[in-house]
Amino acid sequence: MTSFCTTLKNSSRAALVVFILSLLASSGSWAQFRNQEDAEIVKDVLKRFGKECPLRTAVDEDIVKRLEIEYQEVRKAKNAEIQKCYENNYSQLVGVFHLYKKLCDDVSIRSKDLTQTQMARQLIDISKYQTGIRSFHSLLNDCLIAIPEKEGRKFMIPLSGNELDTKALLIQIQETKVKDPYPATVEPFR
Amino acid sequence: MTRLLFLFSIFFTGAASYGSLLLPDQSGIMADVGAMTRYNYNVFYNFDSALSDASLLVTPSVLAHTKPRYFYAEANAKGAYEKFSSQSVQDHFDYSVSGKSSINDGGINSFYINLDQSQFSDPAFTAAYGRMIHQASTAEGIWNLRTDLGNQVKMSGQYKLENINVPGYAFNPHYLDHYSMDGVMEYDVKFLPETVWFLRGKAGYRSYTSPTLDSTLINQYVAAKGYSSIKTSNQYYMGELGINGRLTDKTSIDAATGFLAKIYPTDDSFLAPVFYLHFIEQVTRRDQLIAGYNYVVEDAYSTNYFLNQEIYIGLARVMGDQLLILAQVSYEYKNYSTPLPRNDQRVSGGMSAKYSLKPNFKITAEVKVDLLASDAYDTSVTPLNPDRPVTYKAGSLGVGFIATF
Repeated sequence: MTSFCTTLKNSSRAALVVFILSLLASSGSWAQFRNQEDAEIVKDVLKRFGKECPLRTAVDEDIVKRLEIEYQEVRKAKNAEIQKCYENNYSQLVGVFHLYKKLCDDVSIRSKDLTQTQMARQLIDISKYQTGIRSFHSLLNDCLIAIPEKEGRKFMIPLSGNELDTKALLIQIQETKVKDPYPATVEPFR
Repeated sequence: MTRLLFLFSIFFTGAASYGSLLLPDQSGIMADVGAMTRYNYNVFYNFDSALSDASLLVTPSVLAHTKPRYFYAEANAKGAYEKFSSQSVQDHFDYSVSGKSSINDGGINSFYINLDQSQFSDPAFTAAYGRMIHQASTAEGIWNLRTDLGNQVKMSGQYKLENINVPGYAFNPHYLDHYSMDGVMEYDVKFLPETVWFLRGKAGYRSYTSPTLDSTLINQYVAAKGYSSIKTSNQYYMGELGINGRLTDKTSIDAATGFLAKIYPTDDSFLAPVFYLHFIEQVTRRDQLIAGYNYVVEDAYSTNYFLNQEIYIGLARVMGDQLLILAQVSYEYKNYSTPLPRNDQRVSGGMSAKYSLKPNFKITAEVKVDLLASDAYDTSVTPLNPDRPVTYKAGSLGVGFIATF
């Protein structure tokens, strides 16, 4: 459910960015927004990204560190298939992490007094990297899962937020609660 | 048993036919059925003579949902039929039929309408006294307004009508019949991607439509204590400040503290702070822990309200790919108000295991323990108070399955 909500949120953000880019394109100039209202929308998008990205950076940084440790173990294990998965995805993942971190620093620190050209450039960067390392991390995990006899899973770090479905488990735990046999009033269902 | 097989056959036929329905995109129907055989200790919740009995519980549910372009709609039906092997007075069928719809969900302005019709029943006190059946109708409307930075204002209103009945018994506890109206206004300030501070105001009114007690109750019980009614119409106002969402990547919190004024025209009112604190901690990749403390005021059967202090802890553990172990234990201290005050302490615990034999078929097992110690007693042969304050020890042990379609 969490991952579904995240996907939904990400897709709606992506749609917003595509919409804004189409406005820019229709104006005939990439450096000029069509009107002040568009500029305000872009400012809000940047402001929101600047507010949210530090947490994602912290979470991604933790994952990158854990993957680095796993990669060292992979080298020791000398399993060709696992090593291939890491070689194909790890360096890209780390690269995207640093790009995202830099973008986050830029947007968070310099959110005011930007020219429209700079704002447009940041907006395009956000549309490229807004999911952070997630897509590359997901590709790495898919590759590891595909290795026979679950060998690859030993070197896998779960996607952020995918370790356990906390909300679904919370509902299940609450279902084990012993209900009061004589409750004072009816709830929608018990 | 014939009735039970009939219910099964209806459900399975229904589920099979639902599967063949042609529905538009983003629509679907999900159905599941659970069955469990249980051994129940102290089925009448008595103080001195605990009678045990076996039962079969069947729990079907169906959820249908559709999402055309601009709105979402959902219909949900749940049932629970329990058949006891010898104490047939405890046989019961509870249900809930609900509908939910939303317009522009996730947009700047979004609207939600929820409707529900439910019935449930409380255990009978003796073989001569039937189960007390509650029937409730609820309607709720919600409006959400999102601001530019993800902050939002939520406003909701709810109307509920509830009637209580004991079929075939000399008197009925109609003095519990009531309707209530509640309004909530909340302002959420998003300060992290998945975390908000909130400021919430609540107000409500509850009216008891037949407050005069049945003459049997007045003569034999309540008049002796000097009261002619035990439930009074009331209103409440509450202001709360809280936090909800993720604290770290492993910890979530839902907590609020505020002041409650629950006002009664003739009896003692409640004017004091209240709060709750709930934590969810993902301890490892396979373990989740919940813990919390509630200091809240709730409505009571036998008197106007009670202050409930509850502390609980729960655990979920995923073992391998197929086994899920769940457990929860709680301690409650209930302090009941005038006109019939009393104090109860309750310790309850439940543990269950779910084993996924196939993706759509789970085997389940559960054990539950419920211990109540009260400083008031009603051990009369004919129970006169619907919420009989009596110390009891009860529990159950069950094995069953859940099939999903």
